[in-house]
Amino acid sequence: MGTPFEDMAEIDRLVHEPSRLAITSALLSCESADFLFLQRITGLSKGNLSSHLSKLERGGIVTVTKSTGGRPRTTISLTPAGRGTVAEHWDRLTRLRDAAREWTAPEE
Amino acid sequence: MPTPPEIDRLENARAVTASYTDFKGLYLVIIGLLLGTMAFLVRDGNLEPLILGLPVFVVLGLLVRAYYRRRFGDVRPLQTPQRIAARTFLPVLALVAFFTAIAVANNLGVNGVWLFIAFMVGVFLMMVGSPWRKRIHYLVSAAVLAVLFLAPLGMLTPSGVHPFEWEYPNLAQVTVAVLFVVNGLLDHRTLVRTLTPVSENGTD
Repeated sequence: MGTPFEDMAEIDRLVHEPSRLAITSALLSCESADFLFLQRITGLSKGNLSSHLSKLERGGIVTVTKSTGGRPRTTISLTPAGRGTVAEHWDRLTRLRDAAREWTAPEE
Repeated sequence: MPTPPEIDRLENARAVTASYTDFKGLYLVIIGLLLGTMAFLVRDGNLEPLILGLPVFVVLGLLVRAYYRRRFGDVRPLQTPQRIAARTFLPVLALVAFFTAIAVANNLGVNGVWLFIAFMVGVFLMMVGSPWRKRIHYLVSAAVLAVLFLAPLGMLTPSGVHPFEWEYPNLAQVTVAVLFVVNGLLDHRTLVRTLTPVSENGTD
């Protein structure tokens, strides 16, 4: 019988990085959020958040929309595919957490 | 792999994001202040103070809106069928039921204070929402209001009338106003604690 940690091999590295996981987790709970909110909820600096969002956008996980009229505003949302990926990732994480709590290492 | 406390932190962030609008407690503080002020100013059915005061509170509401947008940013919530039902049908149903009950009570010449208290207890219970652990103060408020109403406080007053049944000042309304202000401040505190200020020098 394998360990619960074998599931970790399936983990999506793009989403799993801690800062990106915080960003996508917040986005999973809403339709969209603006840049400032993501900065506040993740505690990332502007530069770091921009860099992570670029990676997620390139990976097709999020869409970044910049409004032109009035005050400039950047809105971020998960793409339909990204929402599926992040939801699946969360399922895997919670499964792993539950399995790790119950699992005891075999004696050598 | 994130450790369980990290997962808990992420779950907390998800919960606050999902209910971001509910945690903007300063709106509730304004409603509480409006209710409290009107309990002292509106007398003998004279609605002039309400008409004059309402624009002030609308302006305060706009200032709070600007404050939240500038300080914490904006979130568009998920429009799930449950959320739509909770945000639209439930309040409308509750209001229709309340006004119907008031009309029936007026026709029967019954004191309507208990209706107001029952309605407000219902409102506080509805506001508990999810995640309930972060909004348990609404549950406490519902209990406090019910206990204050049911307690024989009339025994302590010279007239023997329960303070909630006084015509002026309307103490039932003042109590609800105070509870609104306290709950609003507690919600706001949750938001401030979760959405920490960002250090521009920070690295990750």
